[in-house]
Amino acid sequence: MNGTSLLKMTNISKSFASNVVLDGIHLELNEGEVVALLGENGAGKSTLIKILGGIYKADAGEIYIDGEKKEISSAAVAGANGIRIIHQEIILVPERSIAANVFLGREYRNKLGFIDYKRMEDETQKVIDEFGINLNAGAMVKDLSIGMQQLVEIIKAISADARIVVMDEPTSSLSQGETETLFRIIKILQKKNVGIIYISHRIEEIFQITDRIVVMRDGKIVGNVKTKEAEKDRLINLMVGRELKNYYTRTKHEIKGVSLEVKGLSHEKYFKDISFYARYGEILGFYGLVGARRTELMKTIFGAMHKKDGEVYLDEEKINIKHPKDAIKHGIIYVSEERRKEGLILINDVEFNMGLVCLKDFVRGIRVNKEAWRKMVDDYKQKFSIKFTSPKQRAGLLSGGNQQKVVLSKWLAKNPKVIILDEPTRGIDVGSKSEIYSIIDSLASNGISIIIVSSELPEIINMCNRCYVMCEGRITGELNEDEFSQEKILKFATQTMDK
Amino acid sequence: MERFRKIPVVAAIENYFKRNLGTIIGLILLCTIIAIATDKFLTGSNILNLFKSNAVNAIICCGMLMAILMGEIDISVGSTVGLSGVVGAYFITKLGLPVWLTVICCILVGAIIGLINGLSISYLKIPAFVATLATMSIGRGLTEVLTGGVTIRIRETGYTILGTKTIGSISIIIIYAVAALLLTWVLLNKTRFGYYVYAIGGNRTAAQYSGVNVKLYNMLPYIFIGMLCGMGGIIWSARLGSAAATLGKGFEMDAIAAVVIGGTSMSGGVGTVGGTFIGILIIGVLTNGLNLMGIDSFWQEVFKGIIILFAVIIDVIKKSKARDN
Repeated sequence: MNGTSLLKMTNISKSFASNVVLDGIHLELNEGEVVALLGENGAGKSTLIKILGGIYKADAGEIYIDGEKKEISSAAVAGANGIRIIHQEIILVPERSIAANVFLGREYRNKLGFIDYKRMEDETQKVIDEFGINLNAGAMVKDLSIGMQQLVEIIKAISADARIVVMDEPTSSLSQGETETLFRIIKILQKKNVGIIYISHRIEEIFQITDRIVVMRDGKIVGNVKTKEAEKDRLINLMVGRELKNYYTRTKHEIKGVSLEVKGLSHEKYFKDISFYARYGEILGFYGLVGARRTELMKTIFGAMHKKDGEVYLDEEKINIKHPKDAIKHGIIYVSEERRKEGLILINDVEFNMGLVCLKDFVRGIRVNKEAWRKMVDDYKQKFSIKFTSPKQRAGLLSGGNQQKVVLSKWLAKNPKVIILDEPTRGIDVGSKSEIYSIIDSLASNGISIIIVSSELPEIINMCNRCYVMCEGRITGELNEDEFSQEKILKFATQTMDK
Repeated sequence: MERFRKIPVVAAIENYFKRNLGTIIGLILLCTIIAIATDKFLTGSNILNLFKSNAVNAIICCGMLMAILMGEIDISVGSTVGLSGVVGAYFITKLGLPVWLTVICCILVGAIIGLINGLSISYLKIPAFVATLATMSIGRGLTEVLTGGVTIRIRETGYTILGTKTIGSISIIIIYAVAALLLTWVLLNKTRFGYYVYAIGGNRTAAQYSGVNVKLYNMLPYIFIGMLCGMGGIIWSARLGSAAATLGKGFEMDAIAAVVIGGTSMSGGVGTVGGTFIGILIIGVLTNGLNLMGIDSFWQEVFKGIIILFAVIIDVIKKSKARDN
């Protein structure tokens, strides 16, 4: 391994609105080195990578390549400096060939200025063969499996003069054989003195392939160890070791009978054989890392995605949910993590948004029962202390916390039995978070069955009576509140299936 | 790994038929029905006439294909043809400009409208339909201003010959159309420009992350479309020997129809010049056949509308099938 410094990022900071995502990050990478970037969801890894890739601009900090200061102002500049980002999601043009995708943006041209496709295809084929992959460079991308598409993405990134390659969860959709191919590619790149930043939640993989491990938490770097000297438990501690703030409301609530029960639920692509139950008066948590497929599971139960197999029971009766409206009719509601996209109509006012779900109660034919509608808005405003200047204020202008309260009130007016909350406090400031927690608690003590999908361990540990842990589309663990510990939960969450 | 390579030309032809099988069968069926219904259809002069009357549509389709490939649309093409034709007639008869200068001016008029479209769509992010709806109205309004509602007659033979000359028995405007189709094929398949048009329509993010100047390459095709329409205007006014305010009205319909029937996906990224060519023929044969059968033009529009609907439904079904797999 060569020890020459390749990349140095110093003092990188970045905020979105008032939310500090990166806070004075230092990161170094040497030639031929593979560095793992480890951290919980929301630790700031993706933002850091997007800054390196020229997609975001840092508020402060400097980037040095080969000891020379660089302004990475766009994706093109990053590319010109040999920086290649392999994104988690596949970003290819599906209706074009592998070769056309690999050379997109830097096509070969002959003397007349016309595209030299044959040369592109031959060269792509050479790279494919070098890595021992069974692919034809002329094949259409859309005809490949997801794993193969991911490999094409990787080939695309490294076939040009790559110097710094960032892989963001590269193995999340690879089979075992494809993962081995990836590791072979990494070894070859290392020999060519390319520096690699490897982001993954799979700790075993990190131990297998990396030289050094950098741990991020809450926008800071909290650990930097040689892989040889690292211990798994210590890494997990570093990942989660934040202080638990005292803003959770937990009253004792009486847990009653089973509300929702799911048996052997499977989805074509995302998850398999999921069975669990929720109870009235209980707050049930679902924890998992990126790619655990919790959101997909909940959306399937809610009828927004199609199941392949399995049954859903409510009050011990089998129910058939094909569409969200069926779920709502049964009293099951889902509050999306994408509040701004799937929860609210931002350009409409608060009153309108709150009334949307039970519009039928307020509007009959051409008669609008304004008083009832306004009363509902006022009731919830008081109950949840929602801050808005008037019922006619635009929902998009409210803070995240108040928006979430509006969404909750809109659903509560329907008197649901089961409420599924997907990342209920994402992007919400600390003060409002505490209020949301107290609302959730009071709902549960009123006997409603609550399911919280959360990527924040403290939220799960402090709010839930019970929790399931998911990893890659399976439930890997179930814990009662007396068994809760961050280490245990994270162990389940990183328990990838033995391939 | 062993890979067979067929003789390229044979492979290309085979590929062409495979890819366009549905539309080719449709075209043959349509021709058969019309040939049975009317004995005038399969005569040499009718076939030549059919090609001639669809030449301008073919030229516009070259541009429309690009817009739709990018997942967008340009509905201003008809009125750009009209404006260019009227500008040509006006400059040559009222201002007495030389023919070569008039031709340049007409193409420039098209290019400017294309530039406005491209800038608003690519840089100002105005939806293509709305942006081109606006320029459609502007263009049509200007043709009416220039003509004052009166048809401009063109007696300048140096100009009219651009649309009436024949080489052997083949009209020169068929040759323009073939040239435009070939040029478009080369642009789309052999240049970076074309690769980026496909990439922008197929996955804009992928193009952007690959360092493609997406904004620029999103704009350029509209200028190309405008210039093609500029040419279309010259050809049409020269062929008729006159230009009226209604010149080019409804041309966008035929162009969109031909491109979509030719297998181009409305959501972008998929479509070929070869497929579009068949689409142009289908629209052309349909119009020609209905004319021969004496069905009036109002009904023809109804038929065309139904066929477009049909083509789009096929596109949607294809796509939802692909999603389910």
